[in-house]
Amino acid sequence: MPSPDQERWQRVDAILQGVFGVPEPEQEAYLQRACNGERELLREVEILLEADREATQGLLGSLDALGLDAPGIDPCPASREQGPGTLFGPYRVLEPLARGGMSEVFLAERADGSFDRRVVIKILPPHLGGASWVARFLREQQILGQLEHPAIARILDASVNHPTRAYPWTFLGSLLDRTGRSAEAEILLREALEMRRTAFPEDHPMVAEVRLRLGTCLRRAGRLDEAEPLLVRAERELAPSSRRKDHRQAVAELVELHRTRGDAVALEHWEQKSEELERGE
Amino acid sequence: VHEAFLRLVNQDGQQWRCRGHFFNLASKMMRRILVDHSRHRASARRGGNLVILPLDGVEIPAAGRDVDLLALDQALDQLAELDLEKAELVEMRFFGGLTVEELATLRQSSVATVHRQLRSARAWLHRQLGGGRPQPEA
Repeated sequence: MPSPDQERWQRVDAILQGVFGVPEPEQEAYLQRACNGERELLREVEILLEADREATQGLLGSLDALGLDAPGIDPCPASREQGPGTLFGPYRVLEPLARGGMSEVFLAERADGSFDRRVVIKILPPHLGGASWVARFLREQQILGQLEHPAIARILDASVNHPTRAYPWTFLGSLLDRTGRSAEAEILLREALEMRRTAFPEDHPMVAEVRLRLGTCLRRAGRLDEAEPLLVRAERELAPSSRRKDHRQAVAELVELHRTRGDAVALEHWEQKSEELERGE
Repeated sequence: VHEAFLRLVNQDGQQWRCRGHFFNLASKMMRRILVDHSRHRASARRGGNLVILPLDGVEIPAAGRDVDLLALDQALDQLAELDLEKAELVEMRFFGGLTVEELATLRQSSVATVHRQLRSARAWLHRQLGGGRPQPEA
């Protein structure tokens, strides 16, 4: 059962949220009606409305849905030093493996010689900051912790960046897929696909792009029946988009899939499509 | 930190079954980390020893925000006693970094509703932190 304070707050909160939903010129009239002559209630809501106006500044302003971020956090100061020889804890960078707008991946080795092991270090670029990055860093750590296996490079440090782009997961999944680690790649790509489906319409090219990566991963693993619908759909949805390279890859994947399967009719269809794309039709 | 986080998440083995639960836990952990860190820094500025960063390189550069963060932490506890749902929303938005859209998906609610709820919570927190001037009596 709610306490008297909770009951009071529920009333105040209901009126407050009601005011937020009303155009400003009508707010005063709404407030008077909702409070129905209860002066203390009216006063309480007015104080909160004033607080709402003030709260767009300062620390609490970061709760504003209009784009201000959470308190600034530098997620990885060491990322400002990125060249070979840079130390990340006990590991020394040997060479960069890949770099994108939202992450950088390095090959590294144990610097103190306590044991001989090469590792992959993935970091946020220096320009990315904010609590959200760190929270996603923790989340990806959870995923990567499950991927630890003697047969794969150990990911020491990682971060998941933009939630709608799910870029690192797509990227890391593709990276693992190219090295033949399809099981691990599939986990990341399915997670990336789920993330994008929550952020974009089903037929959006951003979703189609991950479907393409996942379909490719499954095709390479020989799971043709699972790969085909993903690739067909990705091809259809990428065709009208500006992602021509991805579209060509989708078609190429379908050619390979039907070549593997030995389906001559389908193979001819997709080969023809591929030739049309090459001719720029 | 990571070990503590993983241990927390693994307690009930639900880390992949419920996204909302996961984000909630992650946000609570992030809040604890940031607040503890601010507390250590505030203590150090009062003459304590230097604090070794406990976050594997995660650092809060804006020292002036430490006090605000500690006060916000306390205010959030008070809000949780009054309205747990809103306190959790704020926690996930502010400390977990979830967008309003993501929160709406997790809560199976509309973006507009979550936005109003956050705005209401923000006003309440702001008042608790000393904002919101009383209106003159009529």
